[in-house]
Amino acid sequence: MRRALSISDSGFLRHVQAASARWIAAALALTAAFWLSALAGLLAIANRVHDDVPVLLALKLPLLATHPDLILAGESRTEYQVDPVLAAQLTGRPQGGVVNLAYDAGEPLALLGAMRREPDRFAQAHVVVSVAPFLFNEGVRSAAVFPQDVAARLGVPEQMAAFLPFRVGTLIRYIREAFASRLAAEQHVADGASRPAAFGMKVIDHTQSDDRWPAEIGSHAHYAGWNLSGPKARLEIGALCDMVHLARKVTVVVPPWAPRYDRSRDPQWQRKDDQYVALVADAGRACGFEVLNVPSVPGMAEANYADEMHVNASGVPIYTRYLVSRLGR
Amino acid sequence: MLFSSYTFLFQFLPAVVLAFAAARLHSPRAGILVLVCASLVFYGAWRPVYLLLLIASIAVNFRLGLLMEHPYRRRAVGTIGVALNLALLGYFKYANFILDGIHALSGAPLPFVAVVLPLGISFFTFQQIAYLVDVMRGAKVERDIVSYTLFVSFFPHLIAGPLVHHAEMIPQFKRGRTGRSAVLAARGLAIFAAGLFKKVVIADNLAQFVSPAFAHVDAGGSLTAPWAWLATLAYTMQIYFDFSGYSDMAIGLALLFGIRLPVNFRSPYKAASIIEFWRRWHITLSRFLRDYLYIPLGGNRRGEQRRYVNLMATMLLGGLWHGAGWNFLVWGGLHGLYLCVNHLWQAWRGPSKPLFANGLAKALSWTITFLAVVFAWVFFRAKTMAAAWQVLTALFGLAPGGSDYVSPGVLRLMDLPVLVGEESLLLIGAGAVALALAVALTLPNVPQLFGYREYRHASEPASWLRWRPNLAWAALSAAALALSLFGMWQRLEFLYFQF
Repeated sequence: MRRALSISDSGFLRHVQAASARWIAAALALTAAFWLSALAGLLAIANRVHDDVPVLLALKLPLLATHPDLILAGESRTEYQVDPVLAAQLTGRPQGGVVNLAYDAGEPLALLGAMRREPDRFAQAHVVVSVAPFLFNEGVRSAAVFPQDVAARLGVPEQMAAFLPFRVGTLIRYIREAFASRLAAEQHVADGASRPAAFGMKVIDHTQSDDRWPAEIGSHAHYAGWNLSGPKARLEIGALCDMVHLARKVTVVVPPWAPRYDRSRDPQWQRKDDQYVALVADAGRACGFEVLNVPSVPGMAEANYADEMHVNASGVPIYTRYLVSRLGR
Repeated sequence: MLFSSYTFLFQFLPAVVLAFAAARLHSPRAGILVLVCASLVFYGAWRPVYLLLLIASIAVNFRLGLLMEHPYRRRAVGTIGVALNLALLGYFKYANFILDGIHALSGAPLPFVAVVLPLGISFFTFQQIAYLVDVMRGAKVERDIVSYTLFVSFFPHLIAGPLVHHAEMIPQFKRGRTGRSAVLAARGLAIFAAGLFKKVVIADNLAQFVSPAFAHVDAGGSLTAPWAWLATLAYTMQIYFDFSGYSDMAIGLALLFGIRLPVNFRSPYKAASIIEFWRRWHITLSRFLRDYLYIPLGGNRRGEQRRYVNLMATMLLGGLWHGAGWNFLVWGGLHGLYLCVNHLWQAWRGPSKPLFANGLAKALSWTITFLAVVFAWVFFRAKTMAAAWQVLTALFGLAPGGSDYVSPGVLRLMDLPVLVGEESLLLIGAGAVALALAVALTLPNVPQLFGYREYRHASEPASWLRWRPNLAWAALSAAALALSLFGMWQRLEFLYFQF
C-alpha cells in the first residue's frame, strides 16, 4: 500500500513538474511573440509620426534667422571642426553670415527635409555638406550612426528583417527618435527655440588616449560589411541631388582621417574609400553639386586630432582656414 | 546591474540559470557555489572596488561568528562586531551628515568626506548585525562560509532587500532539494513578470509627474495646488509600485533557484490604521526594527510612557536608516507620532470595541491613514525641508505657485514623448494615479495572487484571483513581460537603491 501510494505520488509530481516546465516554455514563447507584435506596432506608429528633421537639427535651425549665405551642414566632422565665426571673418561676411547646422551622424536626407520646410532660408545660400562612409555603407547598422531617415523609408517587415535580432537597438533608437522628432516639430523648436551658441559649432575638449585609437581604418566600423548598393546609398545620394535645386550652390565635403593613418599602407581602406568617393563624385557630376575630397590638410598634425576622425580645439582654425580656402565664394 | 536592464535579463540571468542547472546536476553544493560566484559578479559589476568591501564585511562577520562559539567571549566579540558594522555604515552613510550637524552647532570648519555610498550597504550590514545579535542570544554559529556568504550576498536581495534573516536563508541552502522544482521556477517567473510590470510600466511612468515637480521645489521654486497634489499622490503610488515591484522581482528570481525570500509588502495602502500600515509596508525592515531595536529597548514591557518613547526612537532611527538627512528623520518622526496616536486611540477605545463596526468608520479610518502616509511622503521625497514645506503649503493652496517647471504638456509613455498640452497632462496624471490606486486597493497582492509560501510558513490564503499554470496566465505573464521590455529603455533606477 505504501509502495503504491509512493509510486502514485511520484507520478503526480512528475506530471506537475512537466506541466510547470511546459508553462515556462509557453510563457517565454508568448513573450517573444507579443514582443515582436508590439515592436511591429510601434514601428508602424514610428513610421507615421517620424519627421525627417531630427531634434538635433531642429535645435540648430533657429540659426537661420540671421539669413546666412554660407550654411555648413552634415555630420560630426563639420559640427566639431568648422568654426562659422572664423569662416565669416575669412570670407568677409558679417557675424551670422555663416552658420553650422551639422550634428552627430547628420545625414543629407535630414538636411533636405529642413530645406524643403524652409526653402526661403536656403535658396540664396551656399550649402556645404560633409559626408562619411557610414551614411552610404549598408554594412553599418549600429544604433548610434544608422541614418534615421533611411530607416523611416523602409517598411516594417524590411525594418524587422534588417535589424533583428542583434541590431534591435537600432530599431529602438529609431522609434525614440521618431517620437522626439515629431515632438520637436509640434513644439516648433526650429522656429521658437533659442539659438545655439557659437553659431552652432561645438569643440571636442579632450584627446583620446593612445590605446583607444584604432590600429587601421580599413577595418574601422564605418567600413565594415562594405556594400554601397543598398537603400542608404540610393536615398542619401538622391537627397544630395535634390538639394541642388533648393540652394544657390551645394558642395559636398569628404573630410580627412587623422594623419597617422596612411592610405597607401592600407589597401583595404584605399579600395573602399575610392569607391565611396567615386560614388559621391559621380553623383556630383550627374546632379550638379561640387565635391571636395579632402584626404589631408596641410599643416594638420597628429596633435590636432582628438580621435581618429575629429580634430580637437587646436585643429579647428587649421581645418576651417583650409576648407574656406577650397570653397571660394 | 538593474533587474530591469537588458544586460541582466538577457545575459546575466540566463547565464546564471544555465550554470546553476548544470552545476545542480553535479551536486546541490555546486549549485550553491554557482550562486555565490554569480552574486559576487552581480555586485562587482556596479563598482568592482566595493566588491572588496562586501567580501571583507562577510569575512569579518563570519570570523566574528566563529569567535563567538566560545561562551565566555560571546558577548564581548558580538558587541565589538555590532560596533564595527555600525561604524562601517556610519562612515559610508552618515559621516557627512554628522559633520554637517557638528558644523551647524559649533561653526567649526569641518571637511567633507568624499565617499560613494556602496550599493545595498544598509541591507547587508543590518543582516549581519542581526546574525551577530542572534548568536549573542544563543543562536547556532554558522560554520559554512559558502552558505554564510550566500545568505549575505544572494543577488536577488543584495541591493535593495528584502532584508533576510539568517535563520530563514541558510537552512534553505543546505537542503538537497534546492533548485530542482519547475513548479517553483514557473511561479518565480510569473512573480518576476508581475514585479517587472509594477516597476517599469506603473512606477516608471508615474515618475514623470513626480520628478520635474520635486526638482523644481528642490531648486527653490513653487507649485500650484493641482501640481502639488498630482506630484505627491503620484509619488505615493510610484514608491509603492517601485519598491514592491523590486521585492516581487527579488522573490521571483530567488524562486528560479528554488529559494524562498520573505514577503516585503502586503497591500499597504489597504491599511485602515498606521499600525496596520507598518504590518504591510516594508515588512522585513519593520521586523528587523521590532526584533533588534524596539524590543531590546524594552518594547511595551516597561509601561505606557516608555512604550511611546521606544516607538518614537525606533521610527526615528528607521527614518534615518533610509538616508542621512533631516527629511528622513522627520519622516520617521511623523510615523512614530502616528503610531503613538494610533496606540493611544486604541487604548482609549479599549479592546472590546471593534474599530471598524461599520463601513463608514472603516472608510474614515482608511482616509485618515492614507492621507497621513501621503503627507509624510512629502518629507521623504523632497531634498530639503524648505522644499517639503513648499509642497505642503501648495497642497492647501497656501502659497502662490507656478507650473513653468513642467515640460509644456508633454506626456511620456514608456519614455516616448507625446504633446498633449498642460491641462490634458494634469488630467492624464490624475487618471494614472487613480488607476494605480485602484490597482493597489482592489487587486490581491502578489503573495495572495500567486499563493506564495514563505520558508516554514503556510501558503497565503486564497484570494478571488489566483495564478494557475495555464495558458491564460502564460499569456498574461507574457504580455506583462513584453510590455515591460519596452519600458526598460527608460533606465530609471530603483528608488530604494539609494538607501
